[in-house]
Amino acid sequence: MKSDFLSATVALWAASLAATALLPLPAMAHLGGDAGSIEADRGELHAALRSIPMQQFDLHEITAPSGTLVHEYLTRQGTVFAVTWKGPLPPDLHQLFGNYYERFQTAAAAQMRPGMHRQVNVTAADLVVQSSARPRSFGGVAYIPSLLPSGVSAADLQ
Amino acid sequence: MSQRLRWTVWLGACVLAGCGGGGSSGSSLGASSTSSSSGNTSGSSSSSGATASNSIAVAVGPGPAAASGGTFNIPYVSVKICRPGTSTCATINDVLVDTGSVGLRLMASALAAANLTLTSTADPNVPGNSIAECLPFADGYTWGPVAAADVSMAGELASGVSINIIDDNGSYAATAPSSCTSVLSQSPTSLNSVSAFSANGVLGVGVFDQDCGSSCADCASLTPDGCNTAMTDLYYSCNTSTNTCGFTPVAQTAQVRNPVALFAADNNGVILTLESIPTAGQTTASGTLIFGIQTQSNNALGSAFVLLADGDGNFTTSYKSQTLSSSFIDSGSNGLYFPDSSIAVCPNTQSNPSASEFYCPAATLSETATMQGQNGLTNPVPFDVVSLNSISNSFYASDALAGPAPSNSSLGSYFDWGLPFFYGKRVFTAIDGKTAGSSTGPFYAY
Repeated sequence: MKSDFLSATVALWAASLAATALLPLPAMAHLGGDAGSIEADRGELHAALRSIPMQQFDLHEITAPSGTLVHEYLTRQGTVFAVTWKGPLPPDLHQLFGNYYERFQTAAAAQMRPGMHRQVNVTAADLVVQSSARPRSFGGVAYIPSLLPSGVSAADLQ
Repeated sequence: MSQRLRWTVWLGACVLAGCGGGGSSGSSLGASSTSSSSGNTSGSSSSSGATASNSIAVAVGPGPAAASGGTFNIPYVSVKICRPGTSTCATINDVLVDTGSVGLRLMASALAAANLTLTSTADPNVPGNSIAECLPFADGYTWGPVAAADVSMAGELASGVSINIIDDNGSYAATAPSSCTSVLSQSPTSLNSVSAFSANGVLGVGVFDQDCGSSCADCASLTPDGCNTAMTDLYYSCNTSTNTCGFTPVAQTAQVRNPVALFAADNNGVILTLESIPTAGQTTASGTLIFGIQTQSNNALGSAFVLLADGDGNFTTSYKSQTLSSSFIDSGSNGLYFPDSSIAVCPNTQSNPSASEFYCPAATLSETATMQGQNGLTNPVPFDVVSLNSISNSFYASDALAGPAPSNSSLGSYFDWGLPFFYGKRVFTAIDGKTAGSSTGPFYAY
């Protein structure tokens, strides 16, 4: 019985190892990704992570070595529906936006803004991004309107 | 900052109407060679009052021809630069004066048109490598080498100052690495062009001495390959044989610096002053950039309101029950940008896909916001908001153009007091750590 259990456990391990080997790395996606993607973000940003459960969502706070603070918001179902950032250097938006990055980029590129390019407001298909970029001071918010929990508005994303 | 962007419409208007006072056909790429007279708007249209040894003329106008008349509320100056310690020089016209950034950045194409070649700065730590800089903006990046130059304006000289050459003509062999284009940059769009900035360069005369400071001078952690590359930094060391580049720390004194801070005197800040214009706008506007604060008879603080800024160069603006704690004064923003959900935002159209960056109130609004410095002193500032669509297509200057800004406090919400704020005022920008009168920078005053 004991040995059966052991072999079963070993088999399970082997299976899970095999499964792990077959699975792709955690998706780079984060907006629209699951809780696991937050760990990927933390790793990518070489940052410290702090989790704060809120009433209508979970808030994960990531601090990059540059001092830039990233907040990721999860629905009760565990999907990242918003990210915000603020700090002396911009975070990797490609990493934070995941599959939503391309539509942000396309929408931003469609606009023309000669001058110092300090702010961008983008409303694309199911994506809102507001971002400001000044020397030594970068900040922004991005969210997926269709995933905002009921009763939560953009103003709640702190 | 965002541009008004009726520019496709303007292009047509310019053809028909000659773009108001701006039809200076000689502007081309704006670079005129050694000691020649400045041939376009930035040198000639605003000569009034800019004769002192510490001041130069400023013009708000159409800018370089390559901008296709797409400029709006952009203040231009001319800057003379020389190879360090030589009399091999060129004057670059149509350089944007920006109190919101630090350092001189020039388009490589403008230098080439002026037949001036600068040498990229060698990496002191890696023989054969040169230093380059990636600069992230809200919707893209610039890339190019750092080079030393002697920068002079009026009677002032900054010797051997690090400047950034924006490589818009591919003259720098190392191209932007992916860590610049897709990690540091918020969007992989290259802004390496005269048209992206409507300028041949940017003269950053903001509240700091260096453009990055300690976060680009320190190495977060050393790996066998050098600095931990996850710690993003604006500066790169580029191997000139393989043309590959990696992050590198750069000592603060070697970073791209505010040329004003390196002047022998008049080095504690600047005054940017623009003429008063009607609320409806004006074709062009003239002004003056004065170097130094409280150092000469023409730059006294007098009774100006002094607005002490925090370590990031920010102060608080109170507006309609909002406390906007990361506010700033920025000649590089072409409008006043602040959150106000009660003002209609312009609808985007095919000809102007960026109209939603601006407000379109049904009638002109008269508002007031209150600035508060670090010392608690407050000053109310009245301002007008006109509809983007009410401004004549032939106008390059408006003191009442405004647009929305994020209201999320997580971002450090802000009131961006852009160029409209400067009309009819003398606006002082004092550099971090420098004393002017009884105040120490960073501060603004007006």
